[in-house]
Amino acid sequence: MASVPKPNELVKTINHTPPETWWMDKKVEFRPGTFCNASRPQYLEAVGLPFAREWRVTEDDWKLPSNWKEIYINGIKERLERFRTFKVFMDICVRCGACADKCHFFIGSGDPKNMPVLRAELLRSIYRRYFTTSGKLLGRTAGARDLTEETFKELWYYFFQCTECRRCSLFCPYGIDTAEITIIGRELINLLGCNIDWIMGPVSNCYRVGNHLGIQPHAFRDMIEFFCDEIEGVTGVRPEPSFNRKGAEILFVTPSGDVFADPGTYTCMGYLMLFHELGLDYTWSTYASEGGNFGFFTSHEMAKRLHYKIYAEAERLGVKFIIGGECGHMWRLLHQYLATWWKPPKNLEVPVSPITGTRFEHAKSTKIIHIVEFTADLIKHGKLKLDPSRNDNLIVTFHDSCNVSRGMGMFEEPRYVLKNVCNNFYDMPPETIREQTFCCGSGSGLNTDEYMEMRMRGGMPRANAVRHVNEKYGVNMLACICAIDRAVLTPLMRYWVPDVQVCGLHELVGNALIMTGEQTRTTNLRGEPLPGMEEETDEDL
Amino acid sequence: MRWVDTLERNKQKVIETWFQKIIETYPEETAKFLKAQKNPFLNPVGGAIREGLEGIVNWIISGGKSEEVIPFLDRIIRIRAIQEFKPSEALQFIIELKVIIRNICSQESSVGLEAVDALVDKLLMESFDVFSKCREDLYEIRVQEIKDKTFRLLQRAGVLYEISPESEQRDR
Repeated sequence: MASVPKPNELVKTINHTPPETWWMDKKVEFRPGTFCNASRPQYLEAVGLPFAREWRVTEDDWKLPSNWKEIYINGIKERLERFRTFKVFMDICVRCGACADKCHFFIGSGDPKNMPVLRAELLRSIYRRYFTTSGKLLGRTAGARDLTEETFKELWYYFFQCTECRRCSLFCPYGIDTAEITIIGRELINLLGCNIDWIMGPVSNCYRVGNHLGIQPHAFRDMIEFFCDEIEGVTGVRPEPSFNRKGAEILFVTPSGDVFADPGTYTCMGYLMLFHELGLDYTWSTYASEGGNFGFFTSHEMAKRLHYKIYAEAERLGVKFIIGGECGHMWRLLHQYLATWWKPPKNLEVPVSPITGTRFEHAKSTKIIHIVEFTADLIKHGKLKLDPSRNDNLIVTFHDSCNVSRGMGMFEEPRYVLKNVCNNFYDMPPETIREQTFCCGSGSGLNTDEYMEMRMRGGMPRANAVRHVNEKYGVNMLACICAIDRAVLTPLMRYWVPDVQVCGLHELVGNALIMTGEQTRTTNLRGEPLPGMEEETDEDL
Repeated sequence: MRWVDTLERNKQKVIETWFQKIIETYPEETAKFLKAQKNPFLNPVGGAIREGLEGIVNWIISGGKSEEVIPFLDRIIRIRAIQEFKPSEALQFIIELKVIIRNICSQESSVGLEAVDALVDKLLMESFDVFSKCREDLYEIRVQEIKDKTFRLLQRAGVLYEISPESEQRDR
């Protein structure tokens, strides 16, 4: 007679481990919230990219051109010949696993294909199949696989799950830069007209109008004037910025997020107040109205093309040097790419602060400096009157934006400024800041709303460290020097650590700055009462 | 001996077994990492799961009287709500607790073990609420982000004429 199993025996038969499938055989499932929408064709057409068409990520047929495989494989070949790094990175990895647990997307999602080694392996397997003898002969045994529509979709899915933050490369004993693999991976995607809407929209707007949102000159100017009204309301002092003024000493360019999206707008007010107080001879451009460059998330050529407007404006206006606002990828581009793309116009000189006389030798090749180094230099020379107690309602921590910290090595300047403009500053745990900083989870053009679920996964390690300082020191403000960070850390905090708000560094500078002729301030730039001024603001209301 | 006393004595064992069950819902390579890396800043998911489980087991030991269990459920479920799980898969770990406590406590003579079922059922009910709240938060955040991106432009364009800026600011 057959024996009936007891309940506890039945429980033991339940296997909780996901079914074993060789990674090459596991198909991608496109669930809403975990992928970005396909680009609209008009955006590709605007910048002359090939195969502009209507297509949807969730449909089986991506309407790829009939010779798509040939285009893709030729694209790899061309890049292997052109980029020595790419060639080396395809061959050199020994799969030691040092990078495996360093990616914020892996940590937050638990998806092994987000281990940088495996994400790169998605492309390496194609490389081996078509470019190495062992791969051609031995196929899968040699870690090679055919390029099919399924594998292309997988490459697409995972190259948009890398924010090019380079945390993994920090730990690679060979120095393999996974971000560069992603950059090439995305270039190949572009050859088939498959970029995402959130990248191609800003690219085409930037190319035609000068900024990501496609804001026209009059609206751009109007917005800055509006900030001047707000500043006047808070301080009684009205900055008088100029626009497209020929003969100014300095051109100021910042990400358009600072001009149009909260909380970046308060950072923008901070810039305006600082420059006014210094009496700086500077001008805004309503044409070079974008510091960001989503061309970087498209192709090397597109990044180069979109950057030029800044130099063209600098030449037209005849300025001596350029100051850039608080931005992340803008600085990685300037620091690591720009000098090999374009020669600066002849009228540009090595930046010298007109206030302190400091010569910024490191900007010799590009003639562009970061506003944080400019401000840190001012404070170091005692050129600013600051009242940090105006930020006493804030307990601040600092998020090192990947591109400025890991990409440029700028660790001390923002902290130096912060310690001078506020009294309560606490760093997050050392393994989560400076060169080891965790990404916001939405960089490299992935900060779109339809991608929110994946963004919450990617930002989880960062949020976890913020949560720690929130619980330990009562931190309620997360400062950063990147416009994408300001936009995306806000929803990230809302989900993971709702007590914490997000600000740019120069918002805090603006609050602390004592301006000549200012009235007694009762509120900060957000209109919230300053510490000790709660009753005064109640009376005002 | 009362089952609560047995559970208290075997608390670490229960937590370890439960932790193992949860990480087995992830792919093998991920499970290894979640278990091996003990630094909660480098392994925030593993850290949060451990912290949550300990809080929940303490709540069971206290007889489920305290209302404090929700933050511990939230520690774990907030993560699983945005990972690649269906709702049922995300919350399955709660039910596992019944079997784990039974298996461990029944090895010693424990009195009143049936009370565990009611407590775990209560936990499961709370978990539904927590899970729904997390997903609602996610959608709410998405809507808020869209509003934040366009608010200033609409304000300047005069499209927000009917909404006073003050009330809009307050709502935000």
